[in-house]
Amino acid sequence: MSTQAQRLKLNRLPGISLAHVESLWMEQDHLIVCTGYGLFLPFLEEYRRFFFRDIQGIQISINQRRHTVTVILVILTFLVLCSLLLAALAGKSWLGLTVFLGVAAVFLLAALVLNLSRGPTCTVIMKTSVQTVRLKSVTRLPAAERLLFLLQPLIGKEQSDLPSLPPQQPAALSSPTSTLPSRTATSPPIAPPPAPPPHDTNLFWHWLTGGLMLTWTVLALADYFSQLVWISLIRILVLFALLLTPIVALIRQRQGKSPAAFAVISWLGLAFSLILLVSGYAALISIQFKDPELAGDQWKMLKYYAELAPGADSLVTVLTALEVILSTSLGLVYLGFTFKEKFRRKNPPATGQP
Amino acid sequence: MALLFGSCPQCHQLLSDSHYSSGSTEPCPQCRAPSRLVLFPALAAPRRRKQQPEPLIDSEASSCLYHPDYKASSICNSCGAFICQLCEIHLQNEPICPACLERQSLGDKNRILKKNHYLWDNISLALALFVPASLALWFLSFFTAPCALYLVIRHWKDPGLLRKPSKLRLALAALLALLQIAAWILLFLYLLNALSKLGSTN
Repeated sequence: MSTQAQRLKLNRLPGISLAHVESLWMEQDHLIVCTGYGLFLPFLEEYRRFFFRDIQGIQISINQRRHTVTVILVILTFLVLCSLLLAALAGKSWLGLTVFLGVAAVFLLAALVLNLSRGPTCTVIMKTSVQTVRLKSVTRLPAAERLLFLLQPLIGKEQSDLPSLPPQQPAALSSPTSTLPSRTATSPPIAPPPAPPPHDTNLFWHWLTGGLMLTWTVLALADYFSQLVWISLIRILVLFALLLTPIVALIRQRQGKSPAAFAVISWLGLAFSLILLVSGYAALISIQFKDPELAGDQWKMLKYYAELAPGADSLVTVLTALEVILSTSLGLVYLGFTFKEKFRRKNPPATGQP
Repeated sequence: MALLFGSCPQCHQLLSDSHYSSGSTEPCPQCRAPSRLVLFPALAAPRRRKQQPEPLIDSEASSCLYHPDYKASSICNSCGAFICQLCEIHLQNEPICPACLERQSLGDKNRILKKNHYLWDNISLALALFVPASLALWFLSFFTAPCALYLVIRHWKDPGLLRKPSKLRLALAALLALLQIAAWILLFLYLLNALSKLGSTN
């Protein structure tokens, strides 16, 4: 018994659950839906074969699963980062928990980036004359389109002797007992549909990034002139958000259609967040030389910086000034571009004009 | 709940004509979920209907093995039996009788009829790895280790169906099983030695 089937590598990470794994294989004249059952590893595989000659249609419907998973992951990541911050401030006795939460935060961030970068989620349904099956191994739109690209010529070749479909067949699809068109129909074969144009990028993450940058300006000034510790804590949370939002914005831009300036601004925003991280470390290192005992206690160090009088530390003054200038200018430019893009979409130029 | 083709999988609303004619992505009229339908000529092809078998009139003509009242129209490619049009099943463009189809689907001769397949590489690896890894059930390795080794030897040359069994997994399962068997033998020898020393002391 020779193995001739070719596994269809549509997804980089196929749909996997603890209970079963589904995969798609292709032979010369049929498709095999393989479902593996087991615990962590599949022990038994079941096969369902769909001959190309029998396939009547394929339906791809975009669903909201990606958005739901994104919201859940963002909430979880935010909670873990807040817990990580509290654990780090609690001191060295909580080092174990800090490390654990740090690792969890890295995994959650990776899952979030992975979820957003794989494209929209979809449901793929394949119909033959005797059954309708949902292809559970194809969960993302890019994979579904790749599957369609592979199958369409093969199905067309197997069904080339059958009469072509007329352009519209609503009656045949709504009722299985309706009269089918006669074999003498001579309508021309349906050309493969053109690929859908890329959609306009959702501007929500761009609004959020620009807004957070301006919020950082306000918080930086408030933290410098006031002696309230909770403002410093809020600044740290905003920094976490500023690390996430440009990444999400960049991923969204890659999947959709947006001006090139957005990518430049988003990269600058990400660079700004990294500069903030580096400046924080610079302050930490300066404390190591001034007061090594203070550097060992995160909470005391945070209180020290929060309660500094304006102008007491030259390094802090310079860093705050730089942060305010950068965050204000970047935030205003970001929001300006986003507003301009929103205006352009509401008032598209007339046909023929650039 | 059955999934209706031509209806939105989110809200089960029947999709509009524009979905069928354009082939491009269109929103559902009810829930606005984008959906795309690609149709093929098999949808409009009439269903193949079996011809009614001819009754046996001439006593000299061959009759069907399963329906003696009907005239045989072909010969089963597998067992050579005469079969009528009612019993004739086409498998890979060759006629076959229902009994041979059932026999082939239960056996391993025709891979296209095979509905399931055990993955012996994964089973042997699970037996060799998971059982001793669970601390509460380590003693079961006395049974699972030889079973895993047997499965490895028995299915080492299994050609598989969609893919060949992974030699790496089989080898790993064999190695783990041998280590466990060796550990049990050592434990047994140690206990024997301890008992003999106890006996000589007494």
